[in-house]
Amino acid sequence: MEILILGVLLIPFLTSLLLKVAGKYMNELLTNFVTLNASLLSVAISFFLFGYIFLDKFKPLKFELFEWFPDPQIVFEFYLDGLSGVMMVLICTLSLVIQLFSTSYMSKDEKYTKYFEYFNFFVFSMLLLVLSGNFLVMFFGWELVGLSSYLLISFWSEKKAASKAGNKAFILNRIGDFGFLIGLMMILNYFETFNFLSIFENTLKTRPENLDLMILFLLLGAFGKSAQFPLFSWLPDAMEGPTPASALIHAATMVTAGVFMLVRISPLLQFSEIGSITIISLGLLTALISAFAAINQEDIKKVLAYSTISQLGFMFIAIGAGAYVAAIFHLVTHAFFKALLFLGAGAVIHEMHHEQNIYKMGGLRKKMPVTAAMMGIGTLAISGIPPLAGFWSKDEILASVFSRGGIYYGFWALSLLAALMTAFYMGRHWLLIFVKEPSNELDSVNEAPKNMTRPLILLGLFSIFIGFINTPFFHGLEKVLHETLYDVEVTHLPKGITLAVLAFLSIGAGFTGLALAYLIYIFDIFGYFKIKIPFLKQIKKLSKDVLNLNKIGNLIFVKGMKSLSRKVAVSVDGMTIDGFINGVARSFLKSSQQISYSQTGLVRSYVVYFGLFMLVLILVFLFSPGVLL
Amino acid sequence: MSEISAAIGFNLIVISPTIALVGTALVLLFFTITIESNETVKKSITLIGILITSFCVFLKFGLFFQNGISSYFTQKILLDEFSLFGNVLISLILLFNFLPIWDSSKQLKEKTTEAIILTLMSASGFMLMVDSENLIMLFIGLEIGSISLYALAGLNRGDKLSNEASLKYFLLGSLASCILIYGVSLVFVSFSVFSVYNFALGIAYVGPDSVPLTTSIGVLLIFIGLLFKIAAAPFQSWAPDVYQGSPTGYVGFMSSIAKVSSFIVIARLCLVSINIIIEDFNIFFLIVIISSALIGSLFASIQEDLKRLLAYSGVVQSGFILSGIVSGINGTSASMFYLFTYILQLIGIFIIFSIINGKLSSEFNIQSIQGLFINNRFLAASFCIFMFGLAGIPLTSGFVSKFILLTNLWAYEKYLLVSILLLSTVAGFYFYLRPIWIATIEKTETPIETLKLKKSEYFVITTLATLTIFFGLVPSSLINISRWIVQSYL
Repeated sequence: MEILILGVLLIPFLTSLLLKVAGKYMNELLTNFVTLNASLLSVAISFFLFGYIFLDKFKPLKFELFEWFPDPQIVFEFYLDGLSGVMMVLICTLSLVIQLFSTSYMSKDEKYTKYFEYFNFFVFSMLLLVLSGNFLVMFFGWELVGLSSYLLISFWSEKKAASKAGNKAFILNRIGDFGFLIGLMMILNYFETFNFLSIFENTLKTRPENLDLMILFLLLGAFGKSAQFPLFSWLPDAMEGPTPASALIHAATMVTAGVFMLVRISPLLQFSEIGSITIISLGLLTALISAFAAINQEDIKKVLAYSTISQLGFMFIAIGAGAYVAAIFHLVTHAFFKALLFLGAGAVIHEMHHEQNIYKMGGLRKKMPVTAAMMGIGTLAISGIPPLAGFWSKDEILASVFSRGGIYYGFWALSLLAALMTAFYMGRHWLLIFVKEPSNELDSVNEAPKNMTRPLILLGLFSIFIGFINTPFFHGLEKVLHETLYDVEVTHLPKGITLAVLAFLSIGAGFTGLALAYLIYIFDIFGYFKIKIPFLKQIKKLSKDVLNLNKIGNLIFVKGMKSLSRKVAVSVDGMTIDGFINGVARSFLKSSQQISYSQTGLVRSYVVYFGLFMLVLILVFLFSPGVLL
Repeated sequence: MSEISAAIGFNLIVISPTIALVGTALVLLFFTITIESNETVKKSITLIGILITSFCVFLKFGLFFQNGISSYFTQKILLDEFSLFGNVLISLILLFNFLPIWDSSKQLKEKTTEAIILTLMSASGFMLMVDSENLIMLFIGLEIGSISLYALAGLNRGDKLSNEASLKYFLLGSLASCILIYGVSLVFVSFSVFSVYNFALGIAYVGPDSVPLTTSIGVLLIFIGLLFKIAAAPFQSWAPDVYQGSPTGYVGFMSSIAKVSSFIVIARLCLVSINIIIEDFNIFFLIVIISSALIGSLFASIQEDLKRLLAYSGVVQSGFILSGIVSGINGTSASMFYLFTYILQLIGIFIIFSIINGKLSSEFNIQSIQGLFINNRFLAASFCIFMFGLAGIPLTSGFVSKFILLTNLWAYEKYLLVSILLLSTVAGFYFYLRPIWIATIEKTETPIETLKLKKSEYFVITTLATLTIFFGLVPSSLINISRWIVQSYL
């Protein structure tokens, strides 16, 4: 049975390999055949595996491949429990649906086969990440996911913006990985193993002194991958990739890797007070900033990108409050409705002939009824309107935060504000695309082809019903994760009337947001009553520039590194440390005046620097402790 | 007679690789001067010579398992794990580099044999260097090896850059040699010994607190001379110029062989000779490592010439390897692992360069690999593998080596060093990925001409790439070897 884990992993990998090797000889039909059947197979296997562990009361399955490192022993191993099972099923299902959509969206693209090759490779690395049995395998998946997302973001590399975005994502993710690696070293150093189970068992007995530091470094990795403040500026830019790829990578799965990792290490995390506070406060900050930023975006995909960051912020809030089940629950529901929204946006973009500005749309409801309805469902779900999926998960997060008491009341209030903003900008998004009077001719727009609408309908159904897996009346997901979170203190929902009031409040926030969006953008309430809001222009500008944080992050981490290296190099270049190799050669070409200078000039200066550095080093040596004194 | 030979440790097996190399060179010379012979004969002679050398290294293993760590020729030649490891590496370098060296030399027309003889002599010198117990022996080996390298750099006489590289390499290299021999003499002044072991005994005898200043400075100067050879900052300035100017076919050989032997000598000095006073050198090495990591990454990210880029990346990698060697026994073992994998990647990448850029050419602009992916998928894929390896991306041996090394450093509580080295890795992703980007993804109107590979080239590149992946997936065998190297110092 354990060997099937390997099967789930290898199917996408082999598909990717096959497409790579035989890509030249494959047309679209053949590619579809290969990739769709492969992902059907992996969906089947993953459901079978999930059913198997379900019948076994979620007793974990372990599978050891080979010994990677002798001493301290590190084994290349996989681990399937409730948590990774949920993720596995989620990834396989979504990848099937999205590939179905892609067959239509990407058709007639030059690099059709290549797209599916990268896509399958991404699915493989994501599965590697979630099925990992120790930190090392997880890190492998972590890096491969970054690599494949880099490939997909810059898929249309002839677009300058695409390759730039790919680079930015890569560099910001490296900064996260830098922290992650240091965290891993600390773990290996203290526990002398990477195996999750033995580490967690150890923590119950003795806890390392520098646990907080360890957690903070691991957090840096999670923040990078899950696009949290301050490493979040890459995600909106990553929308340059093909839309279905964004749906899978930058909405449903890859960006949730950080959340997954934090829930996985929750037995460690629960002991770190500082870590939890950092997570919840930065998560909240991210949720608010990006919700604010989403309000005034014009690009149909950018709105969704910011909303993704904001929703990820919600998941981090849940983790910080100790509501790990709620975090995973929101991850699952979010994956479905965000994939739905992205694919819907993809359908719109496809039919609008790659027009992405939402102000140039409007009135598409009549032209594309199915898409409009499905995106409407997605919008309602993300706004938290019952009984759709988003309501259950978001409400659970808010209620759990509330039930912690103390300072968490403040966190709760702010999260409620973020939820309201979510409803507002998502309402705006949908209304501007589908309802508002169109500003230009849209005669050529038709309903998307069946291959696109069918996946949308499927996801729409999921977005309605997936929420019922974990309601206050039926704790399904909690039972699934019970074995995983056995030693973890999980924050539970408050009981009775409090819960009802909280639910009422969060529903209220959702409706208020949607109603405000309707009033402002369709009814035009400001124009009707001739109200003028002071500083509206500035606020709009501020929102558009993401409080300029986006730019600052970019300036420091991406541009700064480049220009610093350039500046240093140029100024040192003047000192000919990096002299180009033309000292003598140039003498044959340039005038006699320069000959006399450059013929021996460079070598001579090298020698001078050589001697100088030697003297400096000797002096340093003499004055270093223990030599002379 | 046998008594006398036993007394002075006269044993030909221990220097048999050197003898085999010199013998091959002489036979080749003989054939060139006297009998008219075609290239196939010369080629097979060279190859057979290299194979015999490898066999002699194998013989040395037998001797080692019989005698253990032992010294020969009145304490001039040493047989220990380090020298065996060095010999294996040097013969591997010769084997893997045989193709580019031979092809480059063939293009030199009438100077073919000269070039081959130079490489063989150079290898023999470096073999002596890793075998040497005596510091003078070390110097002689280094000089035999280096002088041939200076000549190799300038072999393409028609190319001005090549001439200049050779001249620069020679002038600066001889300066480094001066400093090294000066250090040796200072060490001799204090204890009147040349042997690395006796020298350790001397230090132990006077005690770590009262080591004469001449000794410390002498050791420092020896280190500086060796740091020059491995192109560690701030003595890196020659490397980019020489790499860029030298005929591409030889650069892989030149860079890897000098690095291997110098690192092994540094490791032996650190573990054996100055083991009890290595604390004094901490700050010195810290500065060297940090400046290597920083200068290397900074300059590598602005290079427009691929060979210069590789030179600066070599500076960073030297910093990495050095950091392990100077931190302790486990660190040294990790560094040996690192050295092995790094050498494989380095040779691989330079073989690819020499195929793309032509064997004798000097400059290699980064834009000239545009469209490599369309042109030759095999080359592009292996190019990516080697670059990923150098960058340290997981599932390649580069990641494993960096990971083991940094974990060991962390265990030695060198947090500053770990963070700086990790930062340089992060920067490294930028400059290693740029060539990959250009080679595979970037669109171009003028892709490079179609490249045709020979079967043997396919074979060598595939072997190297497979090894790079293999040690990334299953590193335990090589880890055990690297632990075996340092086992007797535990």
